Amino acid sequence: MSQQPFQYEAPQSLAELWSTLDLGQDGTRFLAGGTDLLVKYKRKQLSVTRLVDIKNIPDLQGVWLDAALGLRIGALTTLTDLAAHPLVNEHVPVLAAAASKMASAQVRNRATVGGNLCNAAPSADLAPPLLVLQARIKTLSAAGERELPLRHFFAGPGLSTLRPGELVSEVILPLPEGNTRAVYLKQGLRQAMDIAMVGVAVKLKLSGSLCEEAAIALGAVSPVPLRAESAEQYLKGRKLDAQSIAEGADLAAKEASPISDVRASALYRSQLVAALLKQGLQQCAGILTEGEN
Amino acid sequence: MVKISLIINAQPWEIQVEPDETLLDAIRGKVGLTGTKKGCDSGECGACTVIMNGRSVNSCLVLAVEADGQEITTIEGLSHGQELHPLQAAFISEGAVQCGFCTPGMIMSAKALLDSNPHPSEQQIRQGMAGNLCRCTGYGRIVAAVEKAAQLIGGDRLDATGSRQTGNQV
Repeated sequence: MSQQPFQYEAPQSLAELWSTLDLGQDGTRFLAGGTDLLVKYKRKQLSVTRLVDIKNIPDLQGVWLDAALGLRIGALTTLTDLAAHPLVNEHVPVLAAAASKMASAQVRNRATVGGNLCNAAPSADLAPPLLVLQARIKTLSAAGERELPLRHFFAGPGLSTLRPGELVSEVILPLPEGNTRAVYLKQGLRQAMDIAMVGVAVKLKLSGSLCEEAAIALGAVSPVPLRAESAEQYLKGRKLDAQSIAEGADLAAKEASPISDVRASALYRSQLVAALLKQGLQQCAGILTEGEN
Repeated sequence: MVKISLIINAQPWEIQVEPDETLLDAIRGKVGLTGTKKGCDSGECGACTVIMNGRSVNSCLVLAVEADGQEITTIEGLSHGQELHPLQAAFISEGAVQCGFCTPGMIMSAKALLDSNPHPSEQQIRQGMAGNLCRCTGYGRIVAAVEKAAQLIGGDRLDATGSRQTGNQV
């Protein structure tokens, strides 16, 4: 690749990783699926002097149910495995559906859950559904582990609150209650291989047509994926009808602060937020009504 | 340079690679199998698609060092001597090849798809091949070729009258 090549290491365990990690060295990068990192490296947007391939570390793999915490998803879970995993499909089908719509089969076979979050793109497709599912992030470093809500993980475009030498080990999802439904809707120019102009995730807890709780998250319309809190508060305790859905959608559009770029103008993005949220609210309400009959 | 060992098309190889050399460059430059193509070199076009441990990957987004100990199938690994793989035969008979540059990647994606789903619908074929771009023909004949190959391999998607149940009528 014609740049000064980096040093490559592939530790087989966390112990081996921490014993060899040199935090004083700039340009140390963790490699998981590589579908973002290698593209940035080739475009000379990322300096890499030492590449630490974490794919062989067992502690970062697997999907399992934890009676106390909920569904635990290892950071190395590929998008293909996330979309197909029985536990994910049973408990958080919105996440499986979001993963199955990302990129291409080839990319999904490599790209990981942890990588999608650590890359911290405002348009990261897993972020909105994980935000409405109230995901928590578990991180590991030589100093120990910590846990934080996903909403405190993103710091800006391409930036997370990970500390030097820290990596994401798991995403932890509390199991949604029985009468909740969630959808993720994204709009791009193509149905595949496209970065979302806007992504909207909705999770509703409904009792009949009464919205007991609403969680709404928006992607690609602000420096970080965000929860649309004023729309959530407005919808909470309200009957879902044409008027409240339209009002909620408008409130969410006002919370977005999109930019104009090659994919869409800011104005178009704001209008997309309202349109997608309206559709999402209708779908959640419709699905639930059908399910209760 | 780093020494890696891998299986390519059922043959063991030991090659020396740079740490930042892609699997694509190693396959073409070190192993000498040039059927796998370099298009965008950034995971967008799918021309470099190979199958690694049963799953399709963009070989431009895999480092050669990551493929150490892995099993790779390239387009050259599909035929048995002079006998073409059903996908290769179907791409020819359906006229799914124009300039041919995207074809090896298309066929490897189609193989991965049919290996996991032997009887895909037209929609599933289009979704499964979404990471492979063709700039010559459009995709109709490519989809028809994958449908035909699925029939050649499985042979049980015909209804009582011998017509296909889904997809384009021929």
